Amino acid sequence: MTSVMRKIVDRMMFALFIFIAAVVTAFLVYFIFYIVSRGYTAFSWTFLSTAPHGIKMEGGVLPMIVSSVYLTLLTLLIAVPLGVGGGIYLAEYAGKGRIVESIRFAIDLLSSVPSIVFGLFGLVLFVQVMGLKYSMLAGALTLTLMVLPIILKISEESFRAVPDAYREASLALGATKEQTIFRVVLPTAIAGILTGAILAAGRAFGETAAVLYTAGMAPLAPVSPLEGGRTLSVHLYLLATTGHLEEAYRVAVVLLVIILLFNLASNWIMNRYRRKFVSEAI
Amino acid sequence: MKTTTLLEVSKVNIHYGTNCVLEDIDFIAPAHTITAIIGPSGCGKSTLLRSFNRTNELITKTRRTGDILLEGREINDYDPLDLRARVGMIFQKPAVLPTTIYENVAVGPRLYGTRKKSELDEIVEESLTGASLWKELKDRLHKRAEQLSGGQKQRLAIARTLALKPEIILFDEATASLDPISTQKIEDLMHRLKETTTIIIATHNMKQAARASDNTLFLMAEEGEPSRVVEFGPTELIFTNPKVEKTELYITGRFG
Ligand SMILES: Nc1ncnc2c1ncn2[C@@H]1O[C@H](COP(=O)(O)OP(=O)(O)OP(=O)(O)O)[C@@H](O)[C@H]1O
Ligand SMILES: [Mg+2]
Repeated sequence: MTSVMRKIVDRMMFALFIFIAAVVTAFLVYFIFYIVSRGYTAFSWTFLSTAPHGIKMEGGVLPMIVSSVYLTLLTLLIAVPLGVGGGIYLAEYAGKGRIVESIRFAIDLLSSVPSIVFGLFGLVLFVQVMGLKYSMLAGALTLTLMVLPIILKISEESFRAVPDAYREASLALGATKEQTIFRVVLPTAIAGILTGAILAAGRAFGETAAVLYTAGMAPLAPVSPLEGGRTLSVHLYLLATTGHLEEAYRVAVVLLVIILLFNLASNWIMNRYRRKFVSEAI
Repeated sequence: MKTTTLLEVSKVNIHYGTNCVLEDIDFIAPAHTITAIIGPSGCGKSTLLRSFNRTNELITKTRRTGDILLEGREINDYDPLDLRARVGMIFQKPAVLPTTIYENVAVGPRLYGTRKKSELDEIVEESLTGASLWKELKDRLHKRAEQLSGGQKQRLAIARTLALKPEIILFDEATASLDPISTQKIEDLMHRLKETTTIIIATHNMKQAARASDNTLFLMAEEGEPSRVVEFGPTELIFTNPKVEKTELYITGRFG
């Protein structure tokens, strides 16, 4: 190929990528604009700060916001220690044997199971067999199963990304393996772990099928983890399937905004932690 | 200068699993000297160094027989953590922890239980001074260590080791990734550190071995055999008048 030809091909590829990026962006902007234009009345204090009432579910979504946040935090509380612990095991302790390979395979399998299957499993195991009823705890345990592979994989990856030189240096200073893991490897991998936790939080927050029959549908704000509640996405689903479209769009706007806040907060936390956490932990 | 033997290695064999990589290794490192270990890639220099602070046993299934005596006492009889404080190690890739310069130095003393800020401050200053970094870095102690240059990082790793007041420092190809000026600084530093410590370096750089060391240990294996000591003696003799032909061929770069 001559260099002129190469330049032309180069330009064309560049134009193509710009075009694809523009299409994707335009689509996204249209999507958000459409939802917001139909649900912008959600930006009202009463909508955000009151409970729904009446047969048409007029009024606000406060209990749903509470349920969603409650459920997400409870899920993280259970799933992050388990996932990070599993990640530490796989990255730092497990060898290459058959058993480890089958654990990995099981994790991959788990992450591709449709969420409705988790919902049914949670309904049988947590709600019925364990007798947790429709509750935040049953919902959180179900969501834990669902997000565990994400947290586990990402934390394993971030442990593996920590250069061996750090471990060597720490061991050569006389640190034990546990000290090395907790004081050097974990703080170094913290940004990755947070990323995993935030991805997991995003999935848990937006999940519908897995929580519908585990956390329940009661439109009340839960207090104890043994009480049920209706998350925003479940509320949205119920509104949409019963023909309350105007209300549904308003809920969709609230969901979008909260998820946006999530992302902003996570970026901020990650930037800060990357800088500070490590120096204090060591 | 005293001439007591600080480290004595005799009849040492090292296996990885069933694979013997070093056989019948004998040499001594007198206190306040620099010993260079040279030999072709894969001959077991790093393995031997790591056996001196017993970090080898942390990495894989490995077995060592024979004696390694630190101040006359078998190193297996030391508490391994105590041993690692006495025998520091510097690696080829400068291992700077992703934190501040200060914390990079304080991490060792903290592990061994020093908590008081004033004590830590003092150790950090001493160690950075010992590694010729204090003047350059004293106003940036709480800045991130990743921003330092390669040579500074390596000296920071040395400072971290010095913070534990080691008797021996092992350098495993510690200048292999540095430019000539940084390398020179590290060599000068080694020379000064001789006053307080004993140094053993593994290097591929024959000029460095010739310039910097007092004694040289040349390891090499016959085809399919474990490595053995080909020659050990004062560096001057090894480099000007080797007893074994293989040594001469290796140091002049004609094989290996
Ligand atoms: N963790 C390990 N498990 C099994 N074998 C190993 C391990 N580390 C090193 N070896 C083997 O031991 C021998 C010596 O390796 P070592 O790294 O000590 O050599 P070296 O002289 O430091 O080499 P280089 O100059 O390339 O750094 C090599 O044959 C190597 O394959
Ligand atoms: Mg080596």
